[in-house]
Amino acid sequence: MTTTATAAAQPPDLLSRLGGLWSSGWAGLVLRRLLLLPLTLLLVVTLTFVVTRLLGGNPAVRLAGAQPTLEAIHNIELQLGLNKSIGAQYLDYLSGLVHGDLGKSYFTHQAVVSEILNRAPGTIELVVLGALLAALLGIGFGMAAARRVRRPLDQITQGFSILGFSTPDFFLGAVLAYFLFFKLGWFPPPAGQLPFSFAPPEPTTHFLLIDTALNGQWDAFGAHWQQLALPVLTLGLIYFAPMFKITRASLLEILRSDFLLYAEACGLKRSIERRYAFRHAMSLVVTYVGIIVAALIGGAVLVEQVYSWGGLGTYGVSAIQNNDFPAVQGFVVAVGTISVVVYFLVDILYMVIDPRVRLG
Amino acid sequence: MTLLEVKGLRVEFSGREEPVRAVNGVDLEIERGEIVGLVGESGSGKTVTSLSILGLIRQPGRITAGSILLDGTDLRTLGPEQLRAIRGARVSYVPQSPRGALNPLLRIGKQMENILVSHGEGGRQATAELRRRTVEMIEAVGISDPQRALRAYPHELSGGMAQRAVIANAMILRPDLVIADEPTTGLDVTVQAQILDLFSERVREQGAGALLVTHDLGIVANYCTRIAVMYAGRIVETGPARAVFQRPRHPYTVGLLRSVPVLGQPLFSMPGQAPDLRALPSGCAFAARCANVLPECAAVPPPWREVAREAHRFLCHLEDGAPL
Repeated sequence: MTTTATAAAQPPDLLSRLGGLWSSGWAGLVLRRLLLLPLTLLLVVTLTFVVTRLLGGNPAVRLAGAQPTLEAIHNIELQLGLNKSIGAQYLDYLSGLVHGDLGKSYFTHQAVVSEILNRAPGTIELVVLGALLAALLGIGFGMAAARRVRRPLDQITQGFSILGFSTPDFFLGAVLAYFLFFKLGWFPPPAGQLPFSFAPPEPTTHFLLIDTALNGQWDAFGAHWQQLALPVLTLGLIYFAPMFKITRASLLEILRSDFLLYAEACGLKRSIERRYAFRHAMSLVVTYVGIIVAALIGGAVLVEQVYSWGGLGTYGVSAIQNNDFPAVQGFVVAVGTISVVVYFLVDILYMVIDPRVRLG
Repeated sequence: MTLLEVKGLRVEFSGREEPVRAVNGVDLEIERGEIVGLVGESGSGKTVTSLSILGLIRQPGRITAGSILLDGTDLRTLGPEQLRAIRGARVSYVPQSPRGALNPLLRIGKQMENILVSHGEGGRQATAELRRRTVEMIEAVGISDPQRALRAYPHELSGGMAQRAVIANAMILRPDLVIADEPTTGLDVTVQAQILDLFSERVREQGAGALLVTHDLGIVANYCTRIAVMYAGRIVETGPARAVFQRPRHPYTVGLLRSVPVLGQPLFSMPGQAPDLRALPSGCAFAARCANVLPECAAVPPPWREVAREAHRFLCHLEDGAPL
């Protein structure tokens, strides 16, 4: 608001134009959200930095080997800059971050940025596809169930959703792998993103689905889809439960709402009425898809383990176990960035769906 | 032929307990060109009656008896698709709170177009024609900047504007019958008068009939040709508005009229409260609150009595109604 006021006092220049954009509903809201993005990330980075240091445990001790001498530990500390004050370490880290440098892993000596670039895309593919499957199943069955309350279809899907809520994802992952791979042989073994017999494609985007397609390696593309099938199915079936619940509940509320009664009183066509209800249900569903994707980016560790996915979650866990400060921070920054971007997209979608949100 | 003829309408809401008889044998007639005021306390069955005419009683409610004849056709015998085609086109509805009733996600113009399209108007090549009709209708309800109003979302309109918009929705297909459920609750008194003037003018101009549901007797006195007073799911008195206001007969109507505040006089309030619709007495439902109660009132159902030559009837054991 203050920006608008000061901008209005000046001749029309870039600043005042920005001010106008700032206060005009749509673009302004997007702009403000974009400006919040780095702020949110700075907060995330700072918090992680503090927490990793508070956790205790000295990485130098682990690196120094089985029976470390004090001197050896001290040398390693010097090397890694751990002897500096916390404040200096924090500033070092921030200045690196600004230049796109997340430091090097204490253990692999690889740049954290490139390690994350190698691992995040696999997880993003897995999680986005899993959440999309969950949303498709949840929305479809949720809408069908809301129109048939307490009839067989509703009760059966309700049962499945309770199962979904109460089954740990890694357990379902293991069960699916056991039956569909080991017993029936319908799917390839749970051994990573691409079988060893395939040469990995030139890493252009690091997304295997895209890179294999770009290079025309269609057999590798197909093989990657086959590898994706079971973990995606696992996530889809588990997170079907909340998607189903939320769709069913919000549609039930909509079906009883005043505005749908009025739509009916106006004699609107069934197809138009259904579109009204669907769009209303979507505003809530979109939010939940966002929450699920954001939560799973760093949180699909156990499913990643079951399918030897080697994704971001796995990376984060081993980094924490090793007290690998740069890796932990890199992991959190990556997860944080992806989450913030996802929530940003959710907000945009929300604005597309509901004009009331555009007021800001 | 009578435009609308409701005969012996009963609506029940069944839950875990005893079913609730929200409407318990209502007869109602509306001719073209007249505005009938349906008056009563909340819970008396006004809204349920009007929703029944539109075929919009939702579960767990159910019409259990009676007929609803629109130009001689019983709406109860029609299938859902036939009913849908009638709603909005031949029988339209003005809701109580327009901002809760309009779709918050769509522009006013789009919602009007949807009504037209749903009733077979327009089609793909005739978008311009649809536009023209919505603009015309929005102008007809007294909105001075129709383009802006059509582009607006419901939350961007004032209460009065939103009410005009739903009246436009109700009138755009030139219906024979308009049902308005408390169309001016929540509006300023001045805006209320404008809206009701507009409403009655539109109805008369189109030669339609209207049912105006309200609990405001002032509105009935100003805008309605006839009045029907409801109590506990039944109509207890009906007649030309002038006749009923001049000489109300049913003790409940008398009480209602006395409850209208008059400057300088203490406010009269009727004793007792509306009866439990799950356990209605076998006689007159008003007996427990009635100042003129007779020994037979509680047990014997009251008969209809006619006031000579006036189409003015009331449901009471008192031969000439309550004394004034």
